[in-house]
Amino acid sequence: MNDVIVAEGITKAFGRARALDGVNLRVPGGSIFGFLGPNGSGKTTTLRVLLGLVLADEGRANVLGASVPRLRGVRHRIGALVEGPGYVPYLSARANLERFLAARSIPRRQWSSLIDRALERVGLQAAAERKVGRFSLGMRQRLGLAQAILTDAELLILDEPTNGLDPAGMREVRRLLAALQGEGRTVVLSTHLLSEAEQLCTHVAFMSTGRVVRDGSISQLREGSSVLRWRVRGRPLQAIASLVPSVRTVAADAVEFDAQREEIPALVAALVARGIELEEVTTVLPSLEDLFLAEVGEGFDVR
Amino acid sequence: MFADEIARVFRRPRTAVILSLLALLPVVLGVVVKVAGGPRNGGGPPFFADITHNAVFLPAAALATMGTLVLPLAVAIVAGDAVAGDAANGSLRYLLLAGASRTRVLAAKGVAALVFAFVSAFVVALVGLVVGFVLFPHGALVTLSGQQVSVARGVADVLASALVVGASLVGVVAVGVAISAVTASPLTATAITLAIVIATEVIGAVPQLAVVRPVLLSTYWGAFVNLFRSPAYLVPVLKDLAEQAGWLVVWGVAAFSSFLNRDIVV
Repeated sequence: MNDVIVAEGITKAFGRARALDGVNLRVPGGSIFGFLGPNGSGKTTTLRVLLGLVLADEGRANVLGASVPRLRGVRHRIGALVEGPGYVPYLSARANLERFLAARSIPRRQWSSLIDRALERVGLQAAAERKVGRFSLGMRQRLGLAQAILTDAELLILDEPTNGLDPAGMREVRRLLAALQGEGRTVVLSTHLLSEAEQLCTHVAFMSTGRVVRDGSISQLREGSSVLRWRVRGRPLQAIASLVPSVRTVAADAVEFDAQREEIPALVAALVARGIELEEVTTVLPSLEDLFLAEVGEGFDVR
Repeated sequence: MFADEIARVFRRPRTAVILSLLALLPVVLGVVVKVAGGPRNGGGPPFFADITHNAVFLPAAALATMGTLVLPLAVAIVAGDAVAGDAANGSLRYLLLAGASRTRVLAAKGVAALVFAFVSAFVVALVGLVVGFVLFPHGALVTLSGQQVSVARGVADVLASALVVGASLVGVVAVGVAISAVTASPLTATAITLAIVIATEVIGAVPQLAVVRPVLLSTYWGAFVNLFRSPAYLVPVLKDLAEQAGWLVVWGVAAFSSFLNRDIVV
């Protein structure tokens, strides 16, 4: 499928703070695309630029073939949830969604069925007539998702969609997003929850200090990783653990460590020379977290 | 979308409170004058001395006294909230994400605030009329120019006055919406708008600054009283309308040019 989002060299500064420093991005159609990065890495700003809310200083971007920021003729094909839901607190859930439909120029006769369907999908139909000001954080988040899927958008851009949800709610949302992708939609979600992205995404981009440092399908990223995770089974384990580099875990029957492929023959020879009984040496797929930390580094530094 | 913006303004509980307070003032005014009598020897604000003679002067007096501060305050609250209120809720970005152009969003909000301005003037006028008819004589009346006219003409003058007072608030709406378009704090927008209103009234009262008076927001605010002449003297009213149109254009251009190029980060 074609790329539904293409961004090239996007920069954006807020005063002196450089939020985006040349973002390049391609989102393939039909994917669930995870936009990953620590807090403050520029995920939300990138999404805002793509949605035409924030105007880039430099660079070009296209969404569904229309240029950013005007997005002429394609806005109604995009559903979005950016930096949390935003509602008029003294209006009901239904009235808030009606406002959105009015702004989207949807004919009034379709409103009720669209709203009912979206609220049912996020499990909020019982609260349709309640004022949003009395909603819990999780309910507001669901309402934000309802708004994003309200008009059958083919591209969903969701900033931290599971924010504020309990574990059961998070799982429901993951199921919903997978179902939406199954219907042929493209889902772009930003998150700092790597486990969430790992369960859900087909493609990811890692963001760090205003740049996309790595992107592609998860399988591509795993294969392309120069450092692999290895698992060695043998006896005695403690001796193995003391001889291999970058030990990650020592389990009951195996040691896991990180090393490049070229290092392995010498390492095996060294283990055998020390009289260790090797049973198995295999690679294990690196987790998204491993890949992410390899690119972005550990720690909480936020520029 | 225009209808929905108007609905948002009037479905807000706070709007009902503001309109109720606006409606209360003519009632208080009428009761006070009924109980204590009008000012002796014709003093007081415009029309005060005439209230006891004829019902239609109660709404006229209410519009005259409320038109320079209370109504501008009410309008500044609503206009200041127009864009900033949605920005503060986070709902502004969703109106834009829905696909409404920035021009349309701002225009809808401006129109809704204008509607509120006219509604608030009419609330004062209509409540004043009703209270006036209950408390005071309502036969033929003597206009400011001394002729006697029918009460129907008097009522028509009151309604026309409400229209002119509403139009006199257009400048306040324009200032309020323009400032509202550049901040996420409705309170800030309201306060700055009100400060501008008060500043123009202060400047207008300084004799040495008479040269700028023709372009001040508040210079012709009392112009509607000339409708209560026979025939109505329209020159000040037309000057008022021209003044408000000027403020609408200047602040409207400022509002659109800033809002269309603004980063929506709230």
